[in-house]
Amino acid sequence: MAEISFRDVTKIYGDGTEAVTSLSLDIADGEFVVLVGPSGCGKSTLLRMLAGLEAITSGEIIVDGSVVNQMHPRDRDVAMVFQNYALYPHMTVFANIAFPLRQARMNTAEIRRRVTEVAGTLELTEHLKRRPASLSGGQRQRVAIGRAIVRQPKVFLLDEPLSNLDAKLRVQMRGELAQLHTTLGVTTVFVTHDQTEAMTLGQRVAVLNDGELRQVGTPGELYHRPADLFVAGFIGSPSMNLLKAELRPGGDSGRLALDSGPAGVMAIPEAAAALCAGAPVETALVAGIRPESLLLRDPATASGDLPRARVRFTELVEPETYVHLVGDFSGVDPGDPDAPPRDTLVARVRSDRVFASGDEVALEIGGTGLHLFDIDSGRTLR
Amino acid sequence: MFDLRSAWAKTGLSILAVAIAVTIVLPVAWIGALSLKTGREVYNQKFLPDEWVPGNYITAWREFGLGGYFVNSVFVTVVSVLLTIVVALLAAHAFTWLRFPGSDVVFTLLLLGIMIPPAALVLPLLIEARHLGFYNDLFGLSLVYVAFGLPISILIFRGFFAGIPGELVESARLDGAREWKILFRVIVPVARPAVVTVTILLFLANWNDFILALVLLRDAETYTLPVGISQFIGQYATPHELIAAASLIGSVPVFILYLVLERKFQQGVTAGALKGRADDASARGRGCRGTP
Repeated sequence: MAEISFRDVTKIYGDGTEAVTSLSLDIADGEFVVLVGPSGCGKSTLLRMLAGLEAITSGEIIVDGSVVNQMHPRDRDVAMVFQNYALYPHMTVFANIAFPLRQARMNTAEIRRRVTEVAGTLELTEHLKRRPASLSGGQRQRVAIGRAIVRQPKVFLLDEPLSNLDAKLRVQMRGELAQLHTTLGVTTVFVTHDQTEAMTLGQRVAVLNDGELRQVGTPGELYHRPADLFVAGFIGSPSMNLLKAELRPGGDSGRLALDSGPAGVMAIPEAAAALCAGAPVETALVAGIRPESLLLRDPATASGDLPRARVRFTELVEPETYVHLVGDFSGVDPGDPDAPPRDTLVARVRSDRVFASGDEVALEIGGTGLHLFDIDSGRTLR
Repeated sequence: MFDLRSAWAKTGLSILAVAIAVTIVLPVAWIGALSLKTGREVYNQKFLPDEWVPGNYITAWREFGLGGYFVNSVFVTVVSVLLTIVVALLAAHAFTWLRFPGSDVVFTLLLLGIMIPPAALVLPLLIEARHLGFYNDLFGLSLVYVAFGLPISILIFRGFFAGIPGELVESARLDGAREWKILFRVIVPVARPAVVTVTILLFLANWNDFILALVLLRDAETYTLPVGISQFIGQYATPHELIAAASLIGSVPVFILYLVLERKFQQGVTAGALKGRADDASARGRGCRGTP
């Protein structure tokens, strides 16, 4: 097991592309950290630099107290599971798992013992004589994991290892990976672009965008206290609604006026009042409202001040419904290239509430899912 | 539009294929028939001999010392093919997975070698061979074959390696394997069709080479088969039936090699035609950029 430190790590490719910019991150011994971000954010590059598969342009990577910048991959004592498994196609499952042990010139009896043990843990015992081509995706994935854990490395690296699996298998493997980490306790760095995977697996999650580390924290911290617009928009499914707005005095805890004409003022719920305490009044800012905190009211009975919206379509995700709304709002792009267009809102409601396309609703804020951001810097206002 | 799947098209294509096959097989059959004729029958207009003389093969082997030429050819071909394949594999591995500064320039320069026909270099080669002491030497001739075989071999290997997922190499590196082990334990087994293809191509070229062997070998005891057979041609008489028999004896090893490796050869020739290979345990991935 090992501690890992990235100190001002930068990676610039030969063509001038800056993949990682002055990134610093500490990972504790035995911790499970997930690097998450959209495609091209530098997360895989960071992992590959840690593995020694990419040279570092500047900065230091420290594993277990030693700077490993110039160390060959085989000397770093890290094991990696690749997105496409990278199994040796001409070798049996046994030979694949045994490969790193053979390179370490371990004696045959010990190799047999370890491979058998790992195969037992990963339920591969009956497949040891088969070749990768005759295995299912999940079994191949297990072989790749087996090959990585068999030599008991200091660090375990996983580069989008679940993305080639179907949805059901992905959920199952997610659970097994978490279980495996609990059992082995090896420092693990997991790369994914799937924020659900990141939030369910990581003890801590590091969010990257454009080669920069935007925030690192527990899944709860990222969800409830995003550091900036990008993290707010990236973490959570469906994404947080981001709208131009301003705070106005009034009511018990103040009011939020959306940039949507005269009818667009919502009372800030008491539970969220603390979040708005330090924010400037009557200044343009960005309001972020989690879909579960966007309450849909009957326009006939709701206050005339409340902003109105129309239902575009609904998605039934039992036991909830995602209601996609369109209205006269000014959406804000958080800078995530994979994010959906920002001219619509999403509300998350119980599936027993029925909405049809074109229905008008009044919008209200409930709960604690309100966040305010500086309109220029995108930083959270607290 | 002309439909290639129609019955007419199929019939037409079949006739064309048979015509091509006949064009290729006919000269071989003609040589076969010739090798069984008597010396007097060689110039008559009949395809098949009136008097069958299988003894021509024994005569060619014994009287013209074909055995010695045969051994020389086997030595030169086996040594040159093995050396070329090992060196080309190492070079292709470096060009594909260990990108070094100037690797593209070196690769392009290497490819220029394919464009120069060996016959054009005969004179400088002869002078060079005399200076470097490999004139009239079978191992020396093997080295010349290696030099001429390397560019095309590297080109084929590199093309095949480029289709192998870079993660296989990276994974082996992380698993603690050294570069030579990665090449021979991981890459070569996956690239076996390419190795077979190159083996057959080199074997054919080196086994059948006449011009370089003629120029670089002086003494009769060093002659390879093609040069040795050419010695059958006399000033006043040429035993065509024995030359035909000797030629067919000389083609037996190539024929056997092809039969043994046929399936792998076809896989190698068609490799890259399909996106995924038969064994898709690893999806096609990016090439790796090398280690620091």
